[in-house]
Amino acid sequence: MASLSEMYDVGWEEMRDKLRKWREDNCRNSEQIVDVGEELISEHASKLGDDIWIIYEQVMIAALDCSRDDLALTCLQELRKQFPDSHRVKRLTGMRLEALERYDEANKHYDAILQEDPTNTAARKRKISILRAQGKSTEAIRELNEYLEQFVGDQEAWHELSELYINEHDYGKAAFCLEELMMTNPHNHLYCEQYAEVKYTQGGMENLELARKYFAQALRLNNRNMRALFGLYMSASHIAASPKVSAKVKKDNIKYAAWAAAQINRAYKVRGSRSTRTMHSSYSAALSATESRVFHMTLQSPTHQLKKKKNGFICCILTFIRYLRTSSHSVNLFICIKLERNSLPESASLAFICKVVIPTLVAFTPSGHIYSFCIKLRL
Amino acid sequence: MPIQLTSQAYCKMLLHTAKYPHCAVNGLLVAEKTKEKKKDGHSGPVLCVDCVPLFHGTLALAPMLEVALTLIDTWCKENNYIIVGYYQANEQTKDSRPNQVAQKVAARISENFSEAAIVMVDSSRLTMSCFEPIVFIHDHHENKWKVRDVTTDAFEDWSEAQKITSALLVGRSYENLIDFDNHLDDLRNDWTNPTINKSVLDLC
Repeated sequence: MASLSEMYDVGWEEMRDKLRKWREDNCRNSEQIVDVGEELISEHASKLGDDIWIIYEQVMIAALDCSRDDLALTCLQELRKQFPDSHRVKRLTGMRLEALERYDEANKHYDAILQEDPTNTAARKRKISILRAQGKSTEAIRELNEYLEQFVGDQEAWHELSELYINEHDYGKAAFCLEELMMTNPHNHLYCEQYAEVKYTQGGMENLELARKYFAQALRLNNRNMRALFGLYMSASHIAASPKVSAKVKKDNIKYAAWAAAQINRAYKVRGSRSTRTMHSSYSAALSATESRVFHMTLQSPTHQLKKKKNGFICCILTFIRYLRTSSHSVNLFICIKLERNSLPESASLAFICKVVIPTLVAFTPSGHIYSFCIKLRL
Repeated sequence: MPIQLTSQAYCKMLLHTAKYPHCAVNGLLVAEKTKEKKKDGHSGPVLCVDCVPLFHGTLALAPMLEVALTLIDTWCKENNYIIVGYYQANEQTKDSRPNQVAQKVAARISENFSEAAIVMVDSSRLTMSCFEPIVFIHDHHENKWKVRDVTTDAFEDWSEAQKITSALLVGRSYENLIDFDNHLDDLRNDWTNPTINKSVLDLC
């Protein structure tokens, strides 16, 4: 079988640099690391100098991920020869035992490390990982909490704990962990966005508002974060659609949702591939389908205040006929509003439409254009 | 009505599971929409022609799931499909019971399609040769999800599915599989996976 360097015409330096990049980014592309690393160590070991030891470690862990025990053992033996008393290498021995599912032996191994060095965080975290691998989530959570009482600054641990809580559907505590992470990493848009997702999942009006705010914050930190954009749209739409909010809050949230929808459409136009662009029109239709629901609720609630007599009621039926899929610059909306069995004088209904309905529609459509507008008043 | 899996649906499910062996993965199963009205409640099995891989890692968060369901629903309407099922592979290889997330999503799907099924992938038995089907199909009976015996009847053509899945796993096609998470990371990634669909067709 041809070697990687022959197949892809890369030299050993490029392979070494690739491995370094993967190490720095903490990627878990274990199969690729094994492919590249195995060739590097077998063919070019002499050229790597002192880099070889960290590469052995990286390749060994990747090999464990791919069930390549042969390769893992080779790397481990080289490391043991070079660093006979190292705790770091002992941890790798433990990881190999974990990979072979010999958890009791692995635990004994880590306990031995901790006896010699009680502050060894790596060994403690491996023990917690064993609990997670065995499916013992409650114990893992408990141990991790104890660990974090001592090592409050360990961000990897806080993130792991938030994941464990999310899997247990304990969203309140997961939010707490993410709050810790956001405090120490205020510029990290991913933590903001994940926090917002947790709040959204928790549900309830307060949490939805908080979610919307943190999605917006994530977007401010990184305006290409699509999850934050979608999240902003969803949370604003849900708030606007809720019957319990005031008219002003509803109006504001419709504005936010409309803005988010426009940004989403733009993102697909600009960055979507040819195939996703053909889906773009269906996305606008999907967004419009939810938009019409949002809009419907808006019209209903202010009219409740106008309700005077028992039999008279204003029934607003808003119909979005179809978004015509024409050029990217024009959006045709054909809107039909029927006001039926209205007990208000005609002038009041028209005033309502002109002062409330039309401005909201104008603010709402992505391109700000309304091409056709038809109002039927049946009084 | 029992669901049946085509080679393409089964293959993509397994590729998704293989791509993220250390994570939980999930996705939706779609079938072609037929206009036949059921006369006595018994019609032929529902054929899942395709699957859409959704997420990997943390599955229990709502917002992106809702976005995915809305967008995929629209895509289905355009292509005359209907979402008929949900698949999931748990993080723990030894655990293949549908959890809360699976049940919630399936309940949502059941609102549009009464016979929605949950397909759990048993990743402990995932091998390159795929000599046996490794899915558990759960149907909703009397408010509980009951597992059904999976035989080769659950597949449109088991030997073809086996051959294609095995070939694509060996060829590491899962590296090119795009799920909805990948799409959200980069909009150019196409979650309908046209290249993989083509590979499946070529092998048929």
